[in-house]
Parts: sequence; structure tokens; C-alpha cells
Amino acid sequence: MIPRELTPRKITLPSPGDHPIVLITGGALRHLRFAYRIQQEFGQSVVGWYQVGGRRPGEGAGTRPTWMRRLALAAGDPLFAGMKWPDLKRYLSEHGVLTTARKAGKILFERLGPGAAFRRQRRMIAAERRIFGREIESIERGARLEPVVVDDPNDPDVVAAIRALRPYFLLTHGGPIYGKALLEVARGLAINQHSGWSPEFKGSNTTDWALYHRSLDHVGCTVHVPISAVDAGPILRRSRPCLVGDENPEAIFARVVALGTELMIDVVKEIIRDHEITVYDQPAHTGRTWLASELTGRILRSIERDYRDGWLREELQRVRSF
Amino acid sequence: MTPSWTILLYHNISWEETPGSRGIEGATHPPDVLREHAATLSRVGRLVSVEEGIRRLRSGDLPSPLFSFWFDDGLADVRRYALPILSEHGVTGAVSVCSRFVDRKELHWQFKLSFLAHVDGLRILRSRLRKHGFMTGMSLKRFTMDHCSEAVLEAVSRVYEGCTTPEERAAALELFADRDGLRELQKAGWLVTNHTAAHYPVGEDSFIHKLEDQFAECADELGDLLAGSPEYWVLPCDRPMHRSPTLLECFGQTGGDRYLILVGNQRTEPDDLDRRLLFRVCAPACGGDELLRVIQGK
Repeated sequence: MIPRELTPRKITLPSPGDHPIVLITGGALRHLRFAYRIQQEFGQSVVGWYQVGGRRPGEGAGTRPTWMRRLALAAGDPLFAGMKWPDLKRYLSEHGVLTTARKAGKILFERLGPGAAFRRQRRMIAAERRIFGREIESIERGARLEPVVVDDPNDPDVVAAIRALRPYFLLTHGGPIYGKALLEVARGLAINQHSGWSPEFKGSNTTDWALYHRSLDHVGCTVHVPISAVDAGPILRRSRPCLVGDENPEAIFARVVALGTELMIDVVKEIIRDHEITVYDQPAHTGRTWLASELTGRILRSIERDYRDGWLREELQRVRSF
Repeated sequence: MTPSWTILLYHNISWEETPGSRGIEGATHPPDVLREHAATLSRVGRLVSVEEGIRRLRSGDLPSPLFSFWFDDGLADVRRYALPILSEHGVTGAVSVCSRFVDRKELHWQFKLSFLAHVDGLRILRSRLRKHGFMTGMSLKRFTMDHCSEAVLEAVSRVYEGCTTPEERAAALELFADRDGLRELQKAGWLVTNHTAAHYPVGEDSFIHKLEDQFAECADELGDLLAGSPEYWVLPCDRPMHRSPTLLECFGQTGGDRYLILVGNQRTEPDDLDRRLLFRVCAPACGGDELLRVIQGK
């Protein structure tokens, strides 16, 4: 899908005889699908696969543990965000100590409670198993490579090992922010799969944020050239997933990720064929970069409520009724 | 389930919903949904090609429920996703194609409408269609189907060209399989069938006079890519309640060894084969158990 609002330009890439590919992924099922699909399409051209975190492939690495998320929230987000001492005094005088204490407890639970994040994690695993499970059983049989598990892909030793593979493409999906030294090992192009709609929704949990803002138009995937700013590099492909009416936000996310992998495959095929490709530069200061710590339990519960109320089904109907 | 033959109808199979298909209900099923459908149906019955289904239904050889898969409009992602999924189950599907889409001469007019919805072009189209009877509050989709004419289609095309860039129009045409893609399907044993030249509603009164011409144009253009004998004429925009009363008569007059393929949302029975008709059931985008309930309800 052509990003209408952005200006295209062509980039030309070197045209060597071979196009070795190195993958860097997280360790969730969606990342395994990414790695297996790339291997299925490009076979022996895939010369390396590095998985960030975890001990075994698909162990669920790449998603921060719930306790770490809560700790970040506790450290970075005051209990009564935006509330000043005079406000609290007024609330106390109007409602009394007991009601204020109850309210504080409720806010505390809302902000720090494990419920929403835990439920989300469980649903995420279930959605990925349902959507990718059968396909992975089919395509993993043809995969040649198993991942090398690393803690930090930016570690100089890891960068040196990847450089030794002389990759033409460095394809990344999941994991931390990749440093300049790592991205520069690609002789052709480093390409990242972002499960969000750039430039409007960059950073973490962007499908959740698009759903929170009830903007189905921004539920999508962007394949781009990574630069130092997160998800802000020139766009190679961007599109929207095929959604099924009654699915939960986690299934929507899985579909976004699946689409991104297919867009990545299209991009790599086009570059191998033409050695040039159209990119769309992202304007600076457009959209927002979301932080992982901003996705609080309150936000997740709000998205859950919309899902329970059948918002997605109604919105899909609305988009189709004209 | 009782032994019978059900042909399931899909259009595109893709992870992507493009602006051209986004406004059309049921235009795209994700690959995992087709995969689940195939797995569920192969548990309760047998997946067969359309030719085998016809053969078995005709001879009454139905040891278990039979299911076939049909993909309308000839979208390119059917080869990318549906072909490997059905191959895993050892079955081939049928795809119906429009010659002008294959040759990049014209875009499916309903895709144009959907694209216009994406780029806020419907407001222009609404005003252009007023002289054809369109009034505020009407559904544009329904109006264009109910009042479909060459003038209405021309208005849709003009607005579409005015609202899109040449690059967008070229990209939209790429959504459909080209000759190489169809050859690959044919090589894999798939049935490639005639869906007219340009997907006009030739089964309804407004376009029934073009029925034979539209199928003939597709047959002439695509030649040996299409199934030879019997031929399969797949009626585009088939709305059972809006079919022309003369449809079957017009079809009968064309002669030849061919079947007319309808939607109908019903199973094909042996009597239908005698009338040279095949019916299909629109596949819902749901899980396997729900699909079985839908099929059993037919």
C-alpha cells in the first residue's frame, strides 16, 4: 500500500552475486514464524539467526516479565499522577479518610495490579498458538538454522560474529534498540519490522495504542530502514492486516505481525531482483513514540472493555458500510 | 454430517487487507482461517477437487461428506497462500478469473468503490451519481448494484481515476493474478475458470444482454488457461434475489458443454448437475467448529 501522504524517492543498492541474510529476532512464537518464513522463502541465503534473550527458541523472550513492568511503572509513574497536595486535601475533606483510602487502593491496583498485564500475556500466547501454530508445524520442517541465543545483540563480540557472516541483509524483528555498529554490518540494507503504523505510532505496543485511540486506520505494520530514532527510518512498506470481527486485541496484534513478515519478504525479493527500491522518508515531529512503561493496566483494561463491547466488529462493519 | 458435496467460496486469502478490498465484506480471509477450515473439514469428511466432486455426486459415490474450495476473482495471493495450504491436504482448488483483470486492462469496479472510500472519493461519486437517481442517505454499494449500468460504471471509473495516482492504479491491478500466476496454479492441478471479462452483474436484468459476450471475451482472451471441456462459467455479483428471470434460459441458449456456477449459499445436489448448475456456500471468516455449524445449516 502506497503511503499517500509521504514523498517517495528511489534508493539504489550494491548488486553483488549473493545476498546473505542474517536475522535478529525475539523469542516468542511470532518471532519464530518470522525466522521460519524468511528461511522458507530465501533458503540457503539465510546464513545466521540470532535470538535476543531466552534459553531456547520460542521461550517467550522479548516480552518483559510482568514484575519488571510493574517495577518500571512504580518507579516512573507517581501514584496520583497529576494530583497535587491541595487536591488530595480537598478530596480528604469532602470524602473522609476511609473513602480516600479506598480510592487510593483502587488507583494503586489500577496502576500496579498484575491482572491486566497477566491476562494479556496469557491471551497473547494463546492467540499466537492459534494463528501461527499449524503454520509453524508445517514450515519449521524446512528450516535449516536454529537460533544463536544472545543477551545483547549490540555486544561487540556479537557484532563481530555477525560481521564475519558478511550479510547483505540484516533483518530485525523484536528485541532491543539496535546500535549503529550493528546496523552497519549489512552490506546492502538493514530492515526492521515494526508492528505499528509509522510515523503516527512508533515505539512499543503501538497496536494497543491504536486500539486504545479507537483508530482502526492506524492498526497496521511498517517495514522500514532502521535509524537511531526508534521506528522513524525511511518506510519501505506499510499496510493494514486482514482482521476477523470477534477477535481480541492480542489476535489483532498477531495478524499485524504476520502481515509485517510478508511485507518484509516482498521487500527483500524486490531488492534482490532490482537492487533499487522506493522509500518514503518519515517526517520529523509527526506522530508519537510510545514507551513500554506508558502502557499501564488502566490502558489495557480500557482496550479490554472495548473488545468486550464488540467495538472491533462494529468498526469493521462501519468501514464496510457505505 | 450427512454425505453430501459442499463447495466453499472464498475470494482472497491474505494477511493483508488492501484499500481495494477493505470495503468489501468477505473479500479476504486470513491464511490461518483457511488452514483451520481445511483441517476441520478433512477431519469430518474428505477434501476433493471440483471435478472429483462432480464425478462422485453424479455417480452417488459419497462415502463421507465431500468439500471443495473455490476462489473467485483471481486474486494473486490465492497462489501465495491458498495453494500451499491446500497442497498440504493433497487437494486442488478452483479459481475463477476475469480476463481484463488478468491483463491489467481494468480494475474490478467494486474494488474501485472500496478504494474511493479509502481516499475520501465517495463524496465526489455521490454527487456524480445524483443524475442517475442516487439520493442522500442511500447506500452507495447497494445503489451501484441495484442501478448498475454502463453510465454508472463509467462514473465510478472517472472518479476513481481522478482520485488516484497512476502508481496507485498500477499497484491496485497487481492485486490480481497475472498469466504466469495462473499458469502456476494450472500446473499444480487447479481449475482455472471463466468469471467474465470484467465482473459486471451479467446475471441481473441490467446486464443480462451482455452475458454471452462477457464470458466469450474472457474465453477468447485467456484461451488455454481456462478449463476446456466442460467449461465453467462463474456468474459474477450473484445475488439470488436479484437474478434475472431469464438467466437460466439465456444460459441454456448458449449451448456447449458447460456448468453455470452460482453462489446461492446452498449445497449442490444431483438434480443441479442435471441442470448444469453448481452452487457454493460463502465461507464465513470463523473457526472450524463455527464453519461446520454454518455448513450443517445449509
